[in-house]
Amino acid sequence: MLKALENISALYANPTRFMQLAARLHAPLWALALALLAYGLFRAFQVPEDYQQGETVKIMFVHVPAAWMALFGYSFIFFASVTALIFRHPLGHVAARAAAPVGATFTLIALVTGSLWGQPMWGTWWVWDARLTSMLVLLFVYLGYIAIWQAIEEPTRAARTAALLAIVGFINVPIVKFSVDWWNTLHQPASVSRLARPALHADFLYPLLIMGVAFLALFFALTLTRMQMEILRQKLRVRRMRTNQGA
Amino acid sequence: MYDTYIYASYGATFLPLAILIASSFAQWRKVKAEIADSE
Repeated sequence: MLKALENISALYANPTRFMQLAARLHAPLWALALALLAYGLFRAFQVPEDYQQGETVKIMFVHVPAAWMALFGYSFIFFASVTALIFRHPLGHVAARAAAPVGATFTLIALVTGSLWGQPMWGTWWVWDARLTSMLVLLFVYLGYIAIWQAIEEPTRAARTAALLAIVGFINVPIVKFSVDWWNTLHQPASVSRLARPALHADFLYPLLIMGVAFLALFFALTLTRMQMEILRQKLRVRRMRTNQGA
Repeated sequence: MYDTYIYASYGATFLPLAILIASSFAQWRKVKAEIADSE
């Protein structure tokens, strides 16, 4: 299994070969993401009222998958950065940089929709409890990561500094995930990850999982598009440098 | 009664995503055009 992963990784270490694969995957991935999103939304608006939360339970179908993607996106950046720094994979930094705005957007969505859900259910837009605060910290770490790429002009130094921040910042991911177990929070504990016995009825669980897969497909479609853009941008930079040196 | 919160949540989800998708494709198209110009 590990050997197969190594072979695939080595095969697509060449940006030209990766671009050929990306061109083939681009349209089907977008089509899959949009189809799943449409089906997920259709199912989400068909669910019955929850006995406690009433109609507001519909907010769950965007809030929870966005929060999943916020954590998944940062984990993706962490693994891509490790791959780039330790294994020197040429696409590691490209993948991490491409995923950062996508993950940051999902984090912002999770925070805003959580606030819009909190007001009718808890009677407040915001509390400084461990889950909400660690999620806000995650957004700042994402923004810091993006800012490093913008602030440092020399690409190799920017890549190394951003990767180091990504690795150090990963400490916040388990804090976000387990904050509801480690501290007393207003935010409820996990309902879905208890796979043996999820706390959600199937009427709510399946639309939620469909929206989760739709957001995952959207994450990969967006990241792939941005990776293609990053590789072309690097190609353009090299071409301009050669032109300037030749002049 | 809670319709405003529900629609605001869906708006707060799909508006940023739409902006991100549009800007990603716009940047990609711009870089592709610059690459074509430089050839």
